Amino acid sequence: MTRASIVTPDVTPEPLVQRAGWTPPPPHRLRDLSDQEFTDLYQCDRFTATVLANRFRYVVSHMSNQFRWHAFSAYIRDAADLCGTLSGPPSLGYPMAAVSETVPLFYGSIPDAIRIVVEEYGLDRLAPGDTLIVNDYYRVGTHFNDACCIRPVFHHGSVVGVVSIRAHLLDIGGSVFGGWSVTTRSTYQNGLRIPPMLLYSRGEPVESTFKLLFDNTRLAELMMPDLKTEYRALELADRLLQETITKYGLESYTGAIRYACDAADEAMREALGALPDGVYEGEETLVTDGFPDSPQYHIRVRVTKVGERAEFDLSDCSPATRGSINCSWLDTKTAVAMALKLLIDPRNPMTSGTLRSMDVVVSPGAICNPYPPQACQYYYVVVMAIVHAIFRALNPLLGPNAVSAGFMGDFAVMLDSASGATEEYPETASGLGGACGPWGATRHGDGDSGEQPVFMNLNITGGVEMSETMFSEAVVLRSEYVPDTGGPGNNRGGASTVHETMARTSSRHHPLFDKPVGGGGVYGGKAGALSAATRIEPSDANRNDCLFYPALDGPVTQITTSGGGGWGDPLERDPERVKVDVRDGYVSIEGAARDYGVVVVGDPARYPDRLAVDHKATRGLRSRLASRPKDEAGAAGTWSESQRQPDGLERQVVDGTCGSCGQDDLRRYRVLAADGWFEVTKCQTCLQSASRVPWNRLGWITLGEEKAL
Amino acid sequence: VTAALVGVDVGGTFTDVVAIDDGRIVTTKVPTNPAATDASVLEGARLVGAGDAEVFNLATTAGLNAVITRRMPKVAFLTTVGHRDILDKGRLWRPYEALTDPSWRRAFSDASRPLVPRYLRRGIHERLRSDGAVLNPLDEDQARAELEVLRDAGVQGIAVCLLHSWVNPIHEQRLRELVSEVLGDVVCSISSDVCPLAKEYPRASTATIDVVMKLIYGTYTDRLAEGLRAMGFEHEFNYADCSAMLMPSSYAMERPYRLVLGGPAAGAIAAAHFGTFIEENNLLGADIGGTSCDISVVLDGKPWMNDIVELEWDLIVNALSAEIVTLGAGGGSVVTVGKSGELHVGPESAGADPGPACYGRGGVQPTVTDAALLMGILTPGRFLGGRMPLDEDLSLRAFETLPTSLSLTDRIRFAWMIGLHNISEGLLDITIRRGIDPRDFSLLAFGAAGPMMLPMLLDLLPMKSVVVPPHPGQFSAAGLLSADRVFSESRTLYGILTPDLAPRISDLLDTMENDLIRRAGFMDRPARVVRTFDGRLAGQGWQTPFIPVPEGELDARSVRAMVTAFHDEYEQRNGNRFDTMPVEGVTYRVQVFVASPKIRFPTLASAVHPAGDVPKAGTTTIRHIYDLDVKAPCYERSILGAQDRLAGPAIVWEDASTTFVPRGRTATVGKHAELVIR
Repeated sequence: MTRASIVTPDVTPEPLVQRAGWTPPPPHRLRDLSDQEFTDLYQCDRFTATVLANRFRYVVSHMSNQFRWHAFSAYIRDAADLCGTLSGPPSLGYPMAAVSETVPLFYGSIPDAIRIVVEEYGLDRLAPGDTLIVNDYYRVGTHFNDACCIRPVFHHGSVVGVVSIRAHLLDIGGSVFGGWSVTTRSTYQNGLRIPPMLLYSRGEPVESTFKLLFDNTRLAELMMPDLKTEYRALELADRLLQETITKYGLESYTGAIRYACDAADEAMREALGALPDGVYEGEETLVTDGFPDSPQYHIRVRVTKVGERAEFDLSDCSPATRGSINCSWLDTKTAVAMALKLLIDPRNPMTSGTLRSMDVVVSPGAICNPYPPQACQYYYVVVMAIVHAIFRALNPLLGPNAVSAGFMGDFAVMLDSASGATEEYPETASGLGGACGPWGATRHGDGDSGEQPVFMNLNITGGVEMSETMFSEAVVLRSEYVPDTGGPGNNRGGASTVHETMARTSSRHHPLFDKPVGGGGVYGGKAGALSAATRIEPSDANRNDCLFYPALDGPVTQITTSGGGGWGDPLERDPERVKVDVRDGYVSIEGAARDYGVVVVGDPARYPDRLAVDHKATRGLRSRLASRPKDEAGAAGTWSESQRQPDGLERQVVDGTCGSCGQDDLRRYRVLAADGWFEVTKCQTCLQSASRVPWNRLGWITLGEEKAL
Repeated sequence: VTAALVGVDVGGTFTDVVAIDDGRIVTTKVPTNPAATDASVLEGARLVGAGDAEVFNLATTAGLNAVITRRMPKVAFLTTVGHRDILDKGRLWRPYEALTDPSWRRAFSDASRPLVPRYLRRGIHERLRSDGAVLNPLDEDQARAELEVLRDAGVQGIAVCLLHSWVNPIHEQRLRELVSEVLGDVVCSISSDVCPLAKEYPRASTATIDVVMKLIYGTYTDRLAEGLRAMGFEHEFNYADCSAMLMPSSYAMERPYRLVLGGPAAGAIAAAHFGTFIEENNLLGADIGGTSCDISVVLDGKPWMNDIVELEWDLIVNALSAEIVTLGAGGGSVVTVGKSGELHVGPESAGADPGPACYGRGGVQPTVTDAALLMGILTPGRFLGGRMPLDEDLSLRAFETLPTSLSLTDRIRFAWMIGLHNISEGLLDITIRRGIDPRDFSLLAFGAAGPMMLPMLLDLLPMKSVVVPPHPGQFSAAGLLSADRVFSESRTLYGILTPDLAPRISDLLDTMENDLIRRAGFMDRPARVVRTFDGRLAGQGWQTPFIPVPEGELDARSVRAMVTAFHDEYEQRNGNRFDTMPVEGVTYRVQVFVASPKIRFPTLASAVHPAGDVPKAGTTTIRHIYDLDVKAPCYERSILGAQDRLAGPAIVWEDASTTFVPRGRTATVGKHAELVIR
């Protein structure tokens, strides 16, 4: 790496500046603290801290359940498309101490969202009983359908915490009913963009806000009861927190909030510390943005890991797409957090402490850090691509603990631009059955074939019958697993699902595959099958006989998800397990020989449980296959050094030496950290910061008011 | 010995027996023989002299255990071609602890332990539309070919669930004929017959469980009936279903999926029934055994019902049930130290084997029971009436080995309190989901460990009182002598409730009712018919269940009454009322109740003991939980009289349980021998 020519005048390292309330991690592991040290640090004893940390999770759970079980719409009540959180007081920088047992994709952006919204609205202007609503993804992440309701919790006149619920509203205006079209080009087409506004003022509904919402949704009758119920749930959480503070005292309460975040931070640091130091690269590609002649879009991540610190440099990603497949920087942070949780810290509760030991670098105008009015309806497509790029970068370090990738919500829905109609609910989309696909294999076993993307967790209760009862024009002809699609491995990846939906009316919505790449194999396992989408006309002479239907009365959309990646060498899979896979239709006889070197004899179609393994032939075949050169499947993704260096991203050389490692390798640049945007001066050798100065609240983003005023 | 009424509750470790003889309650327990639970039932029956009984009621977990352990008969699943993986996917969601865990797998998926392996799940060429119209006719040749594959694979039973069959059963019915044509008299359940309700996964799962239960309970029922007959029992015995309602065994065998979870609901029924004696309409029931705390809700004298039973994560059955929420907090819950040095209690349990460390059966991890022993709540020589010696040194050693710097007192106190906090939060969650206020409820504490743990909850959660019923160790089994016999049926009919729908609803309900009465053949017995529907506001995707339907033929006025009743119930459950929104009926239900003799809790004579002068049976020292050690008197429950008052801290001993009256609380003995702690 050559040094840039800009040299900054200040030679002495600046003092470490952090946002309010930031505390350095305790010098000892939490478990090694003596009772006295613990009490000094957290203003309560270990028992109280444990009880309260649990209490916070329960309060969030009570709040979310109150909302879910008393809500109106099926999206909330049945599917649980929501997320509740609890954050600490302004004096601590609003640390998020607990999240609900719902959609993981939602909570990564909440710590920033709460701080941004309360600061922008004005802490001083808030009163007990106030509840704010906001859905702008440039302030709070995700997409406009997900409205955040945010309620400050007052105790003796000051804000001691903030509770929030983010929940999916079925329609929030925009050019397409429900919002589902990748070819919407701007925030204006995505829907109503709500800045932080009072929804309830001192416990009373704010009529003007409700009217604004009702006049901009196609489903006011669904929105009204859900918002009322959501408000009640926030009220409940407020009351439960008041009781908790009254019982345990404010000092214990705030101490326990810090404790909950420190514990998550420590768990992540320990997990990071166990990885070998180094620089690792991974890449994922999105093949289309939905418009004709689409370029490919690249997600490239370079992970630098030193000791218990890490930096995720995504500055070499492609520029934002022309349509709705982009994600704001808040969700880029979510993606990094999600990837790390999945790979190295799967079971500890997530808090805002989780990302404390790392920085994220993104460039302005990129697919993972767009500007308004670029559109982000399909933000999760980019989130999952980032997750997979990080999987590719880090999996090679994990050895047997590597996690192969699986289904990631592979497709988006594209509105047929020729039809022009937008006021019908995308019923074909609802019938596409795209909620399900496979997971990759791990050392614990084969991957499931029917799962949601790992960052989702909706409860899909109704299935095909419910969908067809609501939208009778879309018939799901098939939704089942496909043989020989799961990535071969000692443990096999889950199989692809083929979804076939017949639309009786002419369908205006088309599926769009944005990622062709199947789940990569790990630890010697092979990649799963590639995904595919096609449209079959009733008149099509070549229509697939697998449709089972003698006659069609409408076009059929066929979507095949990617297959999950395999784990471990497929030639080491127990031949009996391969035989069971043949019996069960996950692997064909040909696939067993080709992918596993196992010779299975018998007739799986007619006598599935009378199959046998020819062990002698298997030994011979396996030794022949083992002597073949290894292919590259499962290797870490790499790319050649890019020349692109967007404005504002140069790492300016700063003279001086690192106070930690002594190297003269200090640079100044902007990073996205657990507490928001910072301009850091940071040692490139050991990742220790010499200074960290809070930067713009929204990074490079300019709001309308700044242009207007 | 002879008994008039006998109830037997088969649990994993013990089989509990409750009998009523001449108004006297007799309880006993025998070890469950897991290989042949029917033998344990017959042994228990003999012990109480069931041969002469009028009524014999049975709740058993034999079916559930077969499902959970997957020691099941070989069954197949037929569905519409292209949809064979319905049973693998379930509802696609995962639990809290697996939110960010990519190694999680559904416990019944092909990648773990499927109930029906994929090669036995096969697609049939046919398809209906959502309105029941035939889109693709049944291809009988293809169906026969598939059935031949299953025949040659040697399946013992076949479940059939075709898409939209709840609207039009024609293909399922024909397929059932083909099954018997190709496979002879193999057991077969079709979903349109088993539970004709919308949504394919729960219906498919229910049909599958039904076939499994037919195979498991078929010969089991015959053996039991035979054994009871040999004992001299002359009547038809009853099974308890998932709502602990009773069904004559032959009727139960028509749709035995309803028996899959017979045991736990009995506690809810017992609580509701006991509530009528002590005049408490609103009760939370908490049954704490070795591994878990089973919570039920009794509202206005009735157990809170659900229309779905979950056997393990997302493995669901469309059965009416008394809703039980299970928390991983029991006497055997294990105390561990987490990564950040924090203590955890449960959900892992030492169970009955090895059990808590103090049992001396090789358990080395400390448990809640070990904490209770070290705190002085349990007394070594008095556990289970002295039959189970407890070793305090082993408990002490187990707590000492925990990797933490906490003092011994803190370890024990924190473990005890964290266990209680877990139960308290669980109870609060249950009340929040149901929109009720715990301050209006008393907590009925039963199970072996309930009376020792639950009274201290009064310090954590505002409730009216904690009530310990008589025979708390076998109280759940008393629920088997607390219910009526019930015959039930349900059907789905989507439609906005408007006057013109009245004739169709009327027809549907009458058909179900007449069928029930005809099949059960008890026109000469006292019967109560309850008709309800599950409805929703137009636009909702979920239902509010059990809305009352007026009696008699329905007209425009009765439809209006149904709509009003819906809004009332919706408001009570959800707190909001939407009078202007149309109401859609979804599922209609008919239940026919036949009165069955029930347990009566005898009245206790008033105390002869002057206030504050109840004779003590011993003294213990309560350690670790209060600032200082405190002496506590111990009492024999059998000598207590009505209106006796015991000031805490105090201990009440009885055979299968120990009650702890915390400091600052008072236990008052009620007229049915219940201890009311406030």
